[in-house]
Amino acid sequence: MQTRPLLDPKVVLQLRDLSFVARSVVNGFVAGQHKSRHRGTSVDFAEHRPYSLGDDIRRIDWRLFARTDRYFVKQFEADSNASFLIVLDISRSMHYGSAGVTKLDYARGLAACLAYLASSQKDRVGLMMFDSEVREFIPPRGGRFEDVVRALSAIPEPQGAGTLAPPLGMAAEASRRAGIVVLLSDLYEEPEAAVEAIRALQYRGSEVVVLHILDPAERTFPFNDVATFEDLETGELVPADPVRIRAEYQSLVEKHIATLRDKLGRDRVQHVLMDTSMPIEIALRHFLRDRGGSART
Amino acid sequence: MLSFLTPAFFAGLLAVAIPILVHLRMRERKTSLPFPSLMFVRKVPHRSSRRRTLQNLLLFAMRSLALVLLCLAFARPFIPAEAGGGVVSGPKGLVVALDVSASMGYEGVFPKALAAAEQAIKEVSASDAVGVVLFSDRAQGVVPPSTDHTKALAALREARPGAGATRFAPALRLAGDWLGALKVDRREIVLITDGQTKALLGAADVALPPATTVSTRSVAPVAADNTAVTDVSIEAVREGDRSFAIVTARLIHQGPKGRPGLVTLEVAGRLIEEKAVVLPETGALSVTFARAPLPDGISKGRVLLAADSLGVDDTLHFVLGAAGDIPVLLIDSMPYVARALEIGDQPGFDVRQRATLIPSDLAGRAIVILGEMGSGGLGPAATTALVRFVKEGGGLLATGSVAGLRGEARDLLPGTWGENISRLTGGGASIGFVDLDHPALLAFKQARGSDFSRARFLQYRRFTASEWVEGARTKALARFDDGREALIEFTAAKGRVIAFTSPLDGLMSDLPVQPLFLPLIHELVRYVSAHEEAPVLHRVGEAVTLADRAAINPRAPLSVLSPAGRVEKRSEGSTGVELTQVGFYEAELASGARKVFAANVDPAESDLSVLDPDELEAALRSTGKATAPLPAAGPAEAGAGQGFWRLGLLGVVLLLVAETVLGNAKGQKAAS
Repeated sequence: MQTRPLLDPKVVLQLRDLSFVARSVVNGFVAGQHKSRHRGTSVDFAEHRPYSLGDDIRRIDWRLFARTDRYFVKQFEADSNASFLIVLDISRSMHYGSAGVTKLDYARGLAACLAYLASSQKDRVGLMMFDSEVREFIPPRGGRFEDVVRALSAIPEPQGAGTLAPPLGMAAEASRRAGIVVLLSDLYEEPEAAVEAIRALQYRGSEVVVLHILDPAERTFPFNDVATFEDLETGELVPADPVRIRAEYQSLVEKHIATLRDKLGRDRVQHVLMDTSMPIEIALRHFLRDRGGSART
Repeated sequence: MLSFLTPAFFAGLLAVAIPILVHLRMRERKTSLPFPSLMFVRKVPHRSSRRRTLQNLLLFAMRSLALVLLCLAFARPFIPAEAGGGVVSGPKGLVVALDVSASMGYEGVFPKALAAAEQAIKEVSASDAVGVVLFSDRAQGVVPPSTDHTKALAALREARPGAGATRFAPALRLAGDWLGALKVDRREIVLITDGQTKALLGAADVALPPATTVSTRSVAPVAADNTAVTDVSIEAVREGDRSFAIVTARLIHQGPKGRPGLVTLEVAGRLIEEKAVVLPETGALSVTFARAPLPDGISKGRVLLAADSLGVDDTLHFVLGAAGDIPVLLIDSMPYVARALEIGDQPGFDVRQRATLIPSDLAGRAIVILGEMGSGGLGPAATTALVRFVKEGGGLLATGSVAGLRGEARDLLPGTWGENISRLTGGGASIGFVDLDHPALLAFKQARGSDFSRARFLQYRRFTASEWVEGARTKALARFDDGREALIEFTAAKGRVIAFTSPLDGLMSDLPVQPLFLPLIHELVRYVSAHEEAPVLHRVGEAVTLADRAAINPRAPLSVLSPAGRVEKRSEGSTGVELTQVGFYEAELASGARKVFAANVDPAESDLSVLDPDELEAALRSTGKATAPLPAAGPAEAGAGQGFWRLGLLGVVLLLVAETVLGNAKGQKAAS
């Protein structure tokens, strides 16, 4: 199996002109490019607010007072660093690849790129890898990019069938402050269960982005020969005639994707389908541009 | 026992391997195919292929059987009518075709052929119909097929070899027609021949009825030794008033050793020379005899070799002086053309010169030359006669007053004659262009001294053709240096017309006194009269035309004296004679002229090389005919048991329909 090098310079070079903009304002102390939900000391004026007891009198806009004879306090948009947690599914189903790259390789490449971007924006980067349980967790902190990349380069062998609810619940508990959580998984769960599990990540008000990683063969089921298929997660053997079931299979997969997108959208979770046949840099560019555009609206 | 006409189609059975391979390929793989998650596969009903594979075995069997039946049908199975050479089913029609060509006259061959023919007739059963055809280059059906075999045997005893060439096609065609009319199970044609390569000419085009076998029984001499005179060439020589001919004969010899011989030339019944020659071992030899004096008119000639085993080709007959003169009617008061036509003997010119044209003078003439006619010109009757003469194939060469043609005769020269163009100043006009590729002028293409530009023309008439299209009715054969037409050709119906635009009177041009004039007039007369050299000899089987219809007296039927000395009356209007015997054919025309034709054996008959039976068989096979010896019924005669392929195709159709119905039913069931 071909292994994609992490932080491919070509990828980084192409993403240099992109800025990863969070959709919502998160708390933070270090000036970054993510907008903080708190007004603070900055150069970007936000709004005027009537003076209330306890406000720093240095913030009073005296010119406005001269015009209105009322006290207003100037508020500024304070840039802050965000907590950026990457949650990576490393279950056995992610070890499948028909297009020369496994879903896991594709996902960890994406994760590394996102970690690099977040790190370069002074965000606090963390990583959690899970299958049926959390296998590795690096809490989001500043300057952890190297640790994240190292962990992505040494992914442990998966154990057991992958499930979303327990590990994501643990991730939610481990996150002590709101931030951005990016989940990379093939989401082989019933939509209701998957959405319920993902909903836990929003527990502390974090913005959740789901990158739904799928191999093209998983969507098209392109096989022609009658064969016995083996479930990578469970090891179950199922004989099937691909030609006969293809149409129905495709219908079920598309319905699954649509249901996930619909249900996650209702929870304000961004669902992005990532096809491993698409070059990773192009997928990232499209994703970040869409995200930046929607954040400004 | 079942046989097959085209067993090669069984190669198509390999196609059965295709569904087998597909079937094997479609079978479930023994090794599992890893897939990330089968949660969706499990949700799909009828995911397992096991049951379907079992069900499809029936479909697979039906498809394979359909393919096998298809191959079987194309292989054309049949049950031979005669298996093992013993059992005969149904009546048989037999035509014995006996070769009576010239080569069958070789010593000992024809008796052998008769014996073979009788044997072929005796081999069939009494209930079989037997017919007899005698053939050479034509076929003569002497006894149509019947069960009375004595008639066939009697006809064979009357047969004699002739002088024709060997051709299988006429015999096959006649025998095929006869056999096609018979209601028999098997048809057979037995060719009894000495076999020659040229005999196969046209055989490929003969369509025989179904279930017809053609077999050959060769009676060719094993070690033939034959000499023959096959051709002559004649050179005419004239010394003063006397004519001579130098004859060169071509002799051939086919035999294991060279041998000496005597060859003799006779002309007009006189022995000219007898020469001793040594004929080479299987080769040819040319012998030139001393010049033979020729009497006036037509002379008969013969070259004779000493008789050998095949006598019919030992004498070659030919005719001298048969070409005849070109009959010319010259209407010209000037002497130039007449003087030009007095010279020349290959051919000579039979000139009838008149001051004016009288219709009765046109009889027997091949060409009219219109020169200076004085002030009278052509009268209405003469004009009408001239037009009819040209339209019926006569030639018209106008060297003078062509502009004076009036009435119908104007159509002979379709165009407008304009004013006279005077070239008195500047030394006169010259010829600037000559179409030397035209048949009338082709002789001047490579001739030295035939300089057309030396002649000077002081005056000529402007001519504008009404249909001046190159290659159509009119054509300029020569033009003056100013581009005006000097010599024009017209094609009027069958006849040819050529006209000068400047009179050849010696006054307006000096062409008549140029060296070019004589050969030019000769060539033009030869072309316009459509003169063709008569061949000195013919071959048996050819048809010759005795004379034009106009030359035959319709009231007196034409009589032809054959070589056998028999006078044959030709039917009224008949002008042709088919040469069937070796020797001289003579006919006297209404004009009193005598026609003589020499008929000889086809030189191919002198070649007695034994045709390899395998080669002959292969040649006949290539013509689409089965050949022999084929004691048992061959595929071509298996018509009675050939209907199985239809049953095979019907089975294929039924199987495919059943397969479609079954397949659809299973598909619907599976879908539900």
